[in-house]
Amino acid sequence: MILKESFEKILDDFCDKDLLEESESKGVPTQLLETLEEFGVYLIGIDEADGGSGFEKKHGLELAVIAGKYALPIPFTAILFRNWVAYQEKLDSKYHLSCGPFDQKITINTDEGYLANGKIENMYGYTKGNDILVIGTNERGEDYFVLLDASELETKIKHNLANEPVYSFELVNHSAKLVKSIDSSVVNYYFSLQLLLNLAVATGALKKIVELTIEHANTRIQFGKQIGSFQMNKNNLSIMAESVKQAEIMTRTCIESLKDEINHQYYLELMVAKLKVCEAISTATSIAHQIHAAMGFTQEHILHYYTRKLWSLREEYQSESYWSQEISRFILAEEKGLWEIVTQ
Amino acid sequence: MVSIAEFNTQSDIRELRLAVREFIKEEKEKGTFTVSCDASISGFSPEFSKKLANKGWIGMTIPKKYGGQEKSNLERYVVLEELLSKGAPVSAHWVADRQTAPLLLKFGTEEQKLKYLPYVCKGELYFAIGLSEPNSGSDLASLSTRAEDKGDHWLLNGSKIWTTGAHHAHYILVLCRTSPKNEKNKYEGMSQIIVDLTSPGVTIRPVYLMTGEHEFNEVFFEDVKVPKENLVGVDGNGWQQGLTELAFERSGPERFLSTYPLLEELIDTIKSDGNERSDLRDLGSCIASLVTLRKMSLEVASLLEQKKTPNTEAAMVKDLGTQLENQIIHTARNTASIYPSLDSDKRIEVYAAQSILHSPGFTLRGGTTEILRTIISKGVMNSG
Repeated sequence: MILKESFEKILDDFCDKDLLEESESKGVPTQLLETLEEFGVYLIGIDEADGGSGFEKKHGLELAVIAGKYALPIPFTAILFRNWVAYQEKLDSKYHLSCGPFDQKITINTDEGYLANGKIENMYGYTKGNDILVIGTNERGEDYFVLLDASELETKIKHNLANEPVYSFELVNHSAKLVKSIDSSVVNYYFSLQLLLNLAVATGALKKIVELTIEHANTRIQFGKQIGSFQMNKNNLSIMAESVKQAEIMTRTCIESLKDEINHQYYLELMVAKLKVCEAISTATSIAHQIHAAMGFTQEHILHYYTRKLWSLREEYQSESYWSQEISRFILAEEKGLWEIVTQ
Repeated sequence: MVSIAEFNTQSDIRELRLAVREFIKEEKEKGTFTVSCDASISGFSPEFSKKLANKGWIGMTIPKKYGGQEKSNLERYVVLEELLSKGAPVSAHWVADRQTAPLLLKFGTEEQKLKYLPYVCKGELYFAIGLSEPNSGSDLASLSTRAEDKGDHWLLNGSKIWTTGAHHAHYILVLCRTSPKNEKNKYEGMSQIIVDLTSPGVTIRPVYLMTGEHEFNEVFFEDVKVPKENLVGVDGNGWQQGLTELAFERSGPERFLSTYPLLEELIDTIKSDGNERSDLRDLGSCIASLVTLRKMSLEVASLLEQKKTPNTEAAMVKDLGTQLENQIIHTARNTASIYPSLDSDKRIEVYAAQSILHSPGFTLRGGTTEILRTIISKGVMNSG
């Protein structure tokens, strides 16, 4: 509780509209980055015996929700994730690394010189100068950690909808810096963490736009009445609250039940969380802008820092179409009936 | 408090679930009942209710001294969701177990508790709810059925409509005026009174559903003498008393499981026919909504356990639940090649027909969408 309160206090002190505006033009705010580092936020998920804070990954995920609520202009979740992977895989003492999106896999030719081929697209949260850790698969479908020297890559930079840089590169018979065999269940576990961090930030931002929209509906007067008293707006506010409640309960469930490995039940709930968060992003951003009207569509209002961030988060780790079909395939592949799976 | 995230795996919950599952399996094998969609409304079987009671699965949260089991709301939830997911016939005791018993426990006199609750728990006593009237639907507070205090009894006049199961029930809990309407506060002066449906002056007229099924009724009260001791709670406090029970009525698993047998049958159909050509997006979306709504509904059950009144959250479960029930119909029609028909020899077509023909009721019972969203918007705007 103290961790969350202290973290929120720091963000409350720093993350005003001026900082968000400045970060968008000048990049990551160094002072805030250092303050968070001094606070020890990046030591979460690392054992005390190894110099960590003793807080668990769950706590980091709870902070990610708060980061979303403040539109924190730092790739906080990418840093947390790379720390967790580097620590657990014992890579942190030798390498500075950033992680690619673990749902994308390159191919690694383990029979002939471990050459890497393939593409990684739209990698978020890369820290300049770091090596890049991605997942590779060989001819037999076995998974590998593949560490790439970024200075040897021709990276293309574009910007996501939140105007943050994302990196893409292509590998053609590329010699990796390190190739390390890894069990596919471990890859799935890391991917679940990466995805859940995304969902946690999105959930925080969704809750914030509900707050902003309610506040606006309660205070904005048109035709001599609060706009929140109009029937259409009440209906829209209900739909928005329902969609965000669904996203929030699924994200919270996944955070609360996070373990050191994922089972089938957890994977189903995570897929559902992703789908519900994406649906809520579509529904809630649309209603938030409709109720805020023209002022929410401008840079003068703070709403766009949240809605653009949400739209960018929605694009990471596949679309709703992919996940809804994946959920179906998952259920259809099971011998057990749906009810048994849902209640197991 | 039980964490919703850990709910499924808690050992006593798991044991209870398996026991209910085994019981349903045995009863299905014996041919005791035929699975149907919307079974909390249409599945009437006194014999099945009696068997459930013998297992201790009716009146589960009621204290032992009134014949109950003193179990938690979450344990009761497990029994309900298992029964509903299998389309078991539970309508006979449904209202008495879900609404009347908790109401009597909270507001009833000791005599009322001792008189009614043991028989509710035995699965022998059924209640109907007397709320809507011909001219008072969503605007329930405009109701005009009245009970006059005649010293040694109430004299009841008026009528109630859409009363599910009144033709099977022994008693009806009537919301009526015991004081004249106050135009400044229309919620004042209402009371809840238990009426014996065999009393002289009570007439029950069937109101057939569009399928021809007899579930609804109109109940007329003409100079019905009701004993004074049948008043529940405080004279004039009926509206407030009724509100406290709404979270129970709106958040249970029956609010999103009415068409569940159709979803399960759809999955079996796709499994047996192969899914190479099926568009699976709608199905995935239904499953996601089912998983999510179950969490939300369980959360409300957990809040009720803590004696909270989560009316906003309960209204959300009901509103989203009815959307899921309809979404399942849409998905079945668009994913499988079916021709809905009540007399089809394919189960999926029968379930689809039952679901479609009952679907207009999903968004009406327990509050229309308009009413629910008004409650939700009020709740979220006041918390903002």
